[in-house]
Amino acid sequence: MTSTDVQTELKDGILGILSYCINCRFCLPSCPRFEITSGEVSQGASGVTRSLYYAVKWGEEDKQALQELRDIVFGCTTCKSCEIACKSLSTGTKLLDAIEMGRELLIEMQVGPMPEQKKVLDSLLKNGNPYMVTARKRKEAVKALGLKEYTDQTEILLYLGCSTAVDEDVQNTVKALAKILDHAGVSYGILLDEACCGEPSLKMGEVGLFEMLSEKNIDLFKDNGVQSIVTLSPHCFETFSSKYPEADMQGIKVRHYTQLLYDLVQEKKLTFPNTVDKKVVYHDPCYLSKYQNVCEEPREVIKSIGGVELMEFKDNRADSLCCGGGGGRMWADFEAETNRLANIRVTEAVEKGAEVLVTACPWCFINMNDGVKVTNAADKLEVLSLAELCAMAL
Amino acid sequence: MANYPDYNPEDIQRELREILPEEAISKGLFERINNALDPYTSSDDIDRGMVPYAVVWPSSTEEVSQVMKYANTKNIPVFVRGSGTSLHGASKYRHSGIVLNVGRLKHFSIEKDNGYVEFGPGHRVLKVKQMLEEEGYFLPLVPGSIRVASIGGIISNNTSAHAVDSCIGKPRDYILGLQVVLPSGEVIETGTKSLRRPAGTDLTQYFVGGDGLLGVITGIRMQLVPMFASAYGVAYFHNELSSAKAVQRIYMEKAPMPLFMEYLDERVARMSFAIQNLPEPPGSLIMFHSIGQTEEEAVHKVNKLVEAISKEPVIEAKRITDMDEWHKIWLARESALPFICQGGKGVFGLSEIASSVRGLVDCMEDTINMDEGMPTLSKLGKPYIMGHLGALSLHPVYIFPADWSAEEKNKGIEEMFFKEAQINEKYGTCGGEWGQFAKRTPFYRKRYGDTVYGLVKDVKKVFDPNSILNPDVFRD
Ligand SMILES: Cc1cc2nc3c(=O)[nH]c(=O)nc-3n(C[C@H](O)[C@H](O)[C@H](O)COP(=O)(O)OP(=O)(O)OC[C@H]3O[C@@H](n4cnc5c(N)ncnc54)[C@H](O)[C@@H]3O)c2cc1C
Ligand code: SF4
Ligand code: SF4
Repeated sequence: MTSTDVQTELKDGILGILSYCINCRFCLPSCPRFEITSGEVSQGASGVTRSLYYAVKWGEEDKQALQELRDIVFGCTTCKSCEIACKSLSTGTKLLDAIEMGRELLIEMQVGPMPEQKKVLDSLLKNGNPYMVTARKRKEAVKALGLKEYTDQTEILLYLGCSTAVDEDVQNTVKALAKILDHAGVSYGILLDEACCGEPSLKMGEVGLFEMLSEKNIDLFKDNGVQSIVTLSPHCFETFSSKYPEADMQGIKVRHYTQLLYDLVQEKKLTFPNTVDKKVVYHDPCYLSKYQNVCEEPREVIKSIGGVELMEFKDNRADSLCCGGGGGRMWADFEAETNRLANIRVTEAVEKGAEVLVTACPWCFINMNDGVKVTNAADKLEVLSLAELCAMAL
Repeated sequence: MANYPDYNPEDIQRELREILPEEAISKGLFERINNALDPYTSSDDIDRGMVPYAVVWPSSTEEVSQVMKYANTKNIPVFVRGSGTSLHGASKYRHSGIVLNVGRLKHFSIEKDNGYVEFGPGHRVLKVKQMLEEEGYFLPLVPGSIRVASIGGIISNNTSAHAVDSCIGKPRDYILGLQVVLPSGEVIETGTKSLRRPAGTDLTQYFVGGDGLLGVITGIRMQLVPMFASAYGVAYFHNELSSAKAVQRIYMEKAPMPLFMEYLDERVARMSFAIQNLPEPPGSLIMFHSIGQTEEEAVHKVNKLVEAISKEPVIEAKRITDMDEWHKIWLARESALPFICQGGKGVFGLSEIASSVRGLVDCMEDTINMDEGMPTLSKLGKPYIMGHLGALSLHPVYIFPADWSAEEKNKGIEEMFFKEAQINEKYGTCGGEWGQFAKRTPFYRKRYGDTVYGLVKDVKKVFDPNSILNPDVFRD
């Protein structure tokens, strides 16, 4: 297939999907990106897709216009709020499919991705991770964590994901999780050679690269006879569950670690002897709540810890305000933005009087921690992963 | 339509920068496109020639005034935009001009000791509702587009939306005064700061429901309405005509009119009850919400409605006491449109038919048979029908398959509006939502005659001699 054929197919696909949109704009108010830009319609939900629609329909070639389009299309956090709104209020348009195709198209046209994201894609190709760390260094860093390795006797593959492998703050989550799993007598192990699940490349529009990475992981799972995977990141969880070919993943149970903790609590294999006397607010990661409907499990786990007062954000569960990290945005800045979503979230948590903001996604964790620093809230609010909170009660 | 000089967009953008702060001007192609669209775009695309020169986002009346003065001097059309949700094409532009988006005109203050609230037109309706509710007040306008439509857009339309006019009236009945920028750029105040309404000529009434023809509303003063107690009811009917008869009966029996009385035909009710896990409804239904100062008063009103309805052949009419049941039924109403749309794998087109009380049963029958004689609608059969039956208004809905060509969808939508006009003309009505012009202009001329239409245009000329404000709202 030539690039022209690919482009034609993508353009037809985009117009086809968007033929379901009547432009009622019901999806716009729920778009977090719309929240942090100055209110321009093109910066949010159907404004993004309508921009794409007209660029395709008019065969836009003007360089400046295409760059404008790139910033609009790559600005989406892929949080899914727009699709949920459209499904419950309007025509059920698959905005995200169109946006993802739009990204693919802009890459084919050599307009996308965002300049900073190019390096990330290069790193995914060369190193198998988006953090510009060589595969060797990544492996050393993971080894240094001293986690059990997966063997043919192991029940659960703990899939670390890239942030856990390279970010020291995020590593505290897996250390805490290992402590919990040991305490509960769970058989788990890691694979030192895991590659990125491919989600960042998929969301940045490099579908070929995603396929390459997914094949690598599928081979790894098959070679090791993996039957049960628990992920640290909701993004890896969603990718394995919904984006890897069903046939290849048949017989492999995939869960996010919040679900595993919930199961352990329900089965009374995990109880918390110590209390944590803190006011805790739980931030729902989009890829857990909006994509996978995992909302109650983490809350039930938190509630099972004595002393914790669980609070809620104004927008919670499937209405949760995105932290801004999805869709390849961990590696890009956008001129149009006047605030950061994580700052809004942190400010609300502080105003609520929460002492701890708990989340269950490495990217939310990183963004919220940054938000605490930027808003000078370090003396009022601590950001913890769910695993860290649980480990405090052991 | 007036002729306007052609300008180079870059020149206009440069000149606008001299009168507005940089952040108040959007020059990007895609923002300009997005501000020129309205719903049903799928069947009525714009072309490159319709892209606005610029979108401006004034954040004060003074900035609006500057823009209008500038545009008036240069004879550039200005299109005022709330959220662009007008279903009758009032927010769709057909040639270049400046879009004035009111989205940043967002002041808000509740003056409890004066009994009114003042706000800018740029708030979304839901936001105003929430801010009022936090202080124990009710917003007396409730459109289906509440999450997205701007309060200024609603007031320009004077739409009572779901609410039953005979119960709470129209927005016009609550607006005490306005701040308006005339097309010349002059700023005027209308109305009063008293809860005692002006007797005699009150220019407020020209702008509320003025279809955006006469001036840009930049400030609104509205009477505060204290929150009330509520009670609820539902009635199921063997067929559509019996439900229309029941509503006639309510008016004839002088039963106390509810705040809402919503209708779902049997097909729609079945589908939407299923999504809410409600038992299958035995027929078409009306659901109603009565209000009173006390719960007893609200309950009394619901009981009176049940009593009146029960005088007609009805499967069941009852007061609902279980709030969970009411919420589910209400959710079924709210999700009905998206659900039939997604079930039908296409995009919805809805029109609005209003009836007289006496004509309601016949009007319902005509609405059911809306496809007759319409080649495109006939391919789709009978419309789904829902609407605000208590307010005597119906929304027939067609689902146009997504894979139909734009041309075919467009034909269907035009036929739908043609039939809407025909039926409204027959019953001597004119539609209680979405405004009077844009796609409805031909109907307006037919319904009221050229003399009346000429008068409206003359009034416009007095306010806007160069015809620069929202000129496309008239469709000559
Ligand atoms: C799915 C859907 C459901 C809907 N449900 C309802 C419903 O239940 N009831 C109902 O009545 N309507 C409904 N509408 C229609 C629409 O929401 C209303 O007509 C609303 O009044 C439009 O508000 P807007 O802010 O989008 O105005 P726009 O579409 O932006 O503007 C409408 C007109 O008002 C003018 N205007 C806007 N703001 C100002 C201002 N500040 N000063 C002067 N002129 C101004 C514009 O120039 C334009 O001519 C629905 C629409 C959709 C898409
Ligand atoms: S809610 Fe759906 S139909 Fe409406 S504008 Fe958004 S995507 Fe389009
Ligand atoms: S996925 Fe989220 S950020 Fe992207 S357009 Fe939809 S609502 Fe906005």
